[in-house]
Amino acid sequence: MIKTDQIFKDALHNHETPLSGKASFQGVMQKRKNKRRGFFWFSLSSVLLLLLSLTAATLFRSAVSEGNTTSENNTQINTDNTGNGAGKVAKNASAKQSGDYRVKNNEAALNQPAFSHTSRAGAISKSAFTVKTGQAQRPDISDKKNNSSLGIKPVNSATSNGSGFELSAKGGSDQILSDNLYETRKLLELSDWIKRLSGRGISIEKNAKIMPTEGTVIPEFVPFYPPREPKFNPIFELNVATAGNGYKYFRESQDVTIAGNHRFSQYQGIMLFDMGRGVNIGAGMGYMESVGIGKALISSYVYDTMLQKDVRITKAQNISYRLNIVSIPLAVRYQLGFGRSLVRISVTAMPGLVTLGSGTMFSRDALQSMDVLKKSSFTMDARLGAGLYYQVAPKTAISAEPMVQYQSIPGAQWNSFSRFGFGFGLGVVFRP
Amino acid sequence: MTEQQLVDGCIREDRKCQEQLWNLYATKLLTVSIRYCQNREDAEDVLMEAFVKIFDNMSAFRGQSSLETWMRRIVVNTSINKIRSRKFTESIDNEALHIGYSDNSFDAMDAKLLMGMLESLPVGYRMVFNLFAIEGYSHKEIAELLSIDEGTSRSQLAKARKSLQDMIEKKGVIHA
Repeated sequence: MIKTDQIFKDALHNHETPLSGKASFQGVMQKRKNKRRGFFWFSLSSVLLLLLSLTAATLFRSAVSEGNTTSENNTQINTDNTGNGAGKVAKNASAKQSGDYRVKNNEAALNQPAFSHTSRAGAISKSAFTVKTGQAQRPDISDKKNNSSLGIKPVNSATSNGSGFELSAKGGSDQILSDNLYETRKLLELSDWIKRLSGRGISIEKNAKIMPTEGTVIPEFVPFYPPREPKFNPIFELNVATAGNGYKYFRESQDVTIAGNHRFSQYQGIMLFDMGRGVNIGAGMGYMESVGIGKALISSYVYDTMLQKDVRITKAQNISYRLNIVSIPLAVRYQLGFGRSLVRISVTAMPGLVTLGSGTMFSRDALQSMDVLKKSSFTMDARLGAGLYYQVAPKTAISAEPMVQYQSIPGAQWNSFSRFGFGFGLGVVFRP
Repeated sequence: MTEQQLVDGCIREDRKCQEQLWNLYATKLLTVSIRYCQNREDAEDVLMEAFVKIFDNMSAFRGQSSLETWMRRIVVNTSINKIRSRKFTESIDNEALHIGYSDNSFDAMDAKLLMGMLESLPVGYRMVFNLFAIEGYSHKEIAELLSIDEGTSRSQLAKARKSLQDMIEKKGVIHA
């Protein structure tokens, strides 16, 4: 050993420095007490956060299931006579059996949410309607294929009135419609609630084990610290996120009014490397399930022979779609602060491929089958998040992170779809 | 009370044993933390934080090394964490170099003078020198602990030695 080293070691190794008043045994005991109290609150908040996430995931799942079941066989003809809804056929009670209808063409009401009105019972099954050629954008009810989707079907002999079509609304069907709209409203409210949550991702910067040369292996917390040079110790990060993209579009057209919502849940596994100065970069695998649930009101025009004029018929249709995407997340993380609890900013680009697309898309141009979205369509999503992580064990940390995610699906005309989704995520980070 | 009895008592959360452990080692371990920290206030914070860890993890002590060695390790690690958690301004306090310079002999240099010289080193040099020269860590261990390369550790040690020797020469206290 160099003499300088020896001199310093001899002089300082066993040197004792008198304590001042601040450092005391009582102070140590007080710190221990505070630490335990902090651990209690952290544990409690972690459990609550976990429960909240599980609840959100469960609600999301149940909403997805509900959307799938309600999308079947749901076309109805709206015969609301309250005048609150968009393009409703108002029925004169005194002319109930005569088929004498008045068109209450309340244009101002077109901007009203489709589910904001109440429905009243009315029977119009014996009305005499004939089809008048619709305008360019109007659904042509003489087209069997189109009519099938609109809920207008050719009448059978028992109810035929010569027009060749029957409107499927009968006494009580309006109530069904009202129920469907109410369900949609509930779903939208739910997604709004989920939308307020957000996030993902965490990281541990330093291996938290210290190996004394001749001593005991002590599990010791070593917090994040930006090293001077890159250190290629892999960090494994697993995270799950859920978010919702608000989508409430009420078209100012007489033909189509759509309200819906889009949500997704995302699962990612990423391997990160420490690049120094608080920066981690990495890549991994991701899987995303996207679900859209909404309600469309589609208007058509028929000619009422009694009134000798066009009558507008509006039918409601539940619409939904599902989209699965496999992606390769490319992640950059930047840690702020030091110690056991850190603030982290994360940016993730997620190029991916569509593996499943089914259902009906919401687009500004009414509804489109998801068939237009080919399975191999390329997607490029990006996410920006900022949140907290806490090191719970020498090699493990958890994170909670609000986030905003941009979704892009080239080839799909989601013109009205809000491409920015706000969500919340949880993550676990391991450093072997 | 033997060392083992102290350990057992601390594991049982016996307050008397914990207090005795504090009384036995606090002053010595304070010197360790002072060597790493920029000021005495931080050093005392580190000392108390280290004792919290010592008491919390006493059951992890297996007796493979002496209790003091084990505790010193904890203090060193806690000190390093403390340094990392602060933005240190690496200003050299030259005043410290004048404290106690009354003799031209290394042997006569007291701990306070040497401490002053160490404190005047940049934080990186000081940590590496402390760990290598006084605590006996290897360059590999230092590299792991500070998240630096072994080469960096070696170069910082060399620079620390050079700086210390320069200080001594500047003050005319060098001897062969």
